[in-house]
Amino acid sequence: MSLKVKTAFIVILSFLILLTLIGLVVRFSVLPSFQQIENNIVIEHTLQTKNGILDELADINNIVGDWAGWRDTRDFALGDYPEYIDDNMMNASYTTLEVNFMWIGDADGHELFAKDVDLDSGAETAFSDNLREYIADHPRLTHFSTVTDSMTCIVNLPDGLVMLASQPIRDSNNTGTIAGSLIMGKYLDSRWLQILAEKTRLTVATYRWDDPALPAPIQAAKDGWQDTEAVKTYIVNDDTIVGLTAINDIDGHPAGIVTVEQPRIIFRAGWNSLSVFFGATTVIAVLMVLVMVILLDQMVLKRVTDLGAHLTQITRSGDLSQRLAVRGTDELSELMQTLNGMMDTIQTSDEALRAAHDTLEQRVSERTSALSVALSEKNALLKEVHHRVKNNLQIITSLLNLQARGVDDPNTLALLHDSQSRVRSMALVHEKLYQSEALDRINFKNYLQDLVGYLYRLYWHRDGRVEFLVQAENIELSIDTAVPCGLLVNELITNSLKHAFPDGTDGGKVEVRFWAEENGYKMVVADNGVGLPPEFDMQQNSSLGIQLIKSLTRQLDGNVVISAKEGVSVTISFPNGKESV
Amino acid sequence: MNNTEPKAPPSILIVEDESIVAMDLSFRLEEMGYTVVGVADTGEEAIALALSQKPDVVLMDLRLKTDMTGMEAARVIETQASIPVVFVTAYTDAQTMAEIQRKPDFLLVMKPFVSSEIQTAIGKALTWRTDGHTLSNNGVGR
Repeated sequence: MSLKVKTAFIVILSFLILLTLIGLVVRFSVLPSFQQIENNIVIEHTLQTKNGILDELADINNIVGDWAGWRDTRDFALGDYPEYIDDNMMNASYTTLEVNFMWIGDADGHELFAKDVDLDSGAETAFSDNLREYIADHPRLTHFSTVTDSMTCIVNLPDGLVMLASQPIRDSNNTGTIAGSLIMGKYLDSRWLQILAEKTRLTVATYRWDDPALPAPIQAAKDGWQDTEAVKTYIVNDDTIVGLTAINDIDGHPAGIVTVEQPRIIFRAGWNSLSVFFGATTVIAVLMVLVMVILLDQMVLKRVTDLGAHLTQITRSGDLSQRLAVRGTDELSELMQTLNGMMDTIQTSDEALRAAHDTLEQRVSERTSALSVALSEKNALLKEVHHRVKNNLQIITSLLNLQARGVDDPNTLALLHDSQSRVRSMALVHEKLYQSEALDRINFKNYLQDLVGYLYRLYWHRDGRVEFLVQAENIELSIDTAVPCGLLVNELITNSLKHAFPDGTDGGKVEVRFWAEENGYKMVVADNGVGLPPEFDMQQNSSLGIQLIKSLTRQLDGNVVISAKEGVSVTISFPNGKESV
Repeated sequence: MNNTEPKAPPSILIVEDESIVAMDLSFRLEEMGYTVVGVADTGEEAIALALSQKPDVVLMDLRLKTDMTGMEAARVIETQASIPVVFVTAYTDAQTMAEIQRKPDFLLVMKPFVSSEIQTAIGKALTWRTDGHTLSNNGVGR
């Protein structure tokens, strides 16, 4: 994931967290505040409406007071003015006074007059039997203890809710006896509610307390409603909130329910404001994310990417003379300057290293060619030495040969021959040495094969053939070991050729074996000849050949074992101590 | 040499700068029945003697007194007189060894030598001179 994406991710995440926090604050703090405000307002409006009803009741009571203290009314109640009804209780009086009904009773509460008028049509309607029954059942409406008493109440009738006021019929100056009672009232019907709504600009409704068809939320509010004086509220939907309160009857029991429906203007306004705020915040957040990412990209990320690309390019090209272009004076510019400084150091070190490397290469080359020349010279010199040694050995051989010319004694001649063969076996070592690559070691197997052939040519002048068998491992020996070994083989084979086959018949065999053992070598020279004379004792034998064998074996730190079963077998073992040096 | 019965014994030219070795060779060759027509110790002398004496075989050391090597002298002798050469030497480099092995009229005996080695090599050279050389001439003649 690139730095740009990471940065954008972090910024977006931060803003999402911020927006979530704002949302939580709005949800659990601001919105409840709005709801509280609209709740308070609807409660206030509900109480105002209730007060409107009570005010209306007071107005009716005032009218009742005027009429109850009127002399004509008293006279009618006392039976002195029968025309009172016709003179005063016209339908127009109801519509003028804005009351639905009037009821007049005598001092005992017996009904003298009752009339109901529909205020919309202005026509008389039937007086409610339920109302008549209610008045009869409630003597407090018709029996007063003093002339100044009055009674106002809401009545819950099956016909509907009724506002009602009652006062004693009396003298105009509020003296004398009580002549009867006057009741006026008004239905809390849709007409009156319409008037109230126009006055309060609220949607008002009333319900009978025991209305079996109450709307469900009102029924729910009514259940468990202890303090019926208090105002309850419930939210219908996002647009409407309702406040409701009870109005009591004459006995102080709830008679009806007044509801005020109010549009949720404040909540809607608050909600809309918050929505706009939230939306604006989101848009601003998105813009800020974009701006921040773009600015960060231009000021930091792009430069870091360019820096990385430039360093990669320098690394790939290996051109340490390149430098980063530094602009500005911020931290990144300082970093680039530091990197340039590092590259100065690296370049200097690299150049020094290259110079040192070149010098070293040159020295190695010079030294190698010098060593090569020296090695060639050494090899040439060694070959020359071997050549001169061999040449000198030839001179010795020739001298011995010339010496032999004047000798007639066969024993002396044999001695000179033996010396020649010893010189030859040594010369063969030098021949093999300058033929070998190492110049100081020879393949002893090749040497043995050549030596055996030479000795055969030198010594075998009898009839019949002697078969030679060389069994040797491919072992390289140094000159220090090869010369004594060669001389030993020379002596042993010479002995066999001289003494093992005196008859010179076919079937003679001389076998030379040479192999490596742990920590040393073993060499066997054996023949199938006549064997040793019975009196042969190696320790006592004073011949030069035997002396040489003992001496050379000692020189090799080895030991010699002679066996005389079926011919002669001589076994010489010696350690490889000199070879390992 | 016993198998060939020439009226005159085969003649040999010895080219050797070590006088003792030359002397030894002379005695040995005479004992073997050959005639030594001369002893040279330089290449130039060897060429002169070979061309004048016309020996049957030249015994040639590779290293001689002057700068001319035995091989250089042998080439001249081979070219001008068609005489087989037996090199008797203590040392040969690989190049010289290869040239000797390539040419049938060049033979090699390593020092220090035994008489039988010299005798065998001269025998081969004489065989070449009587058989191989004739064949070679016939080849050229045709």
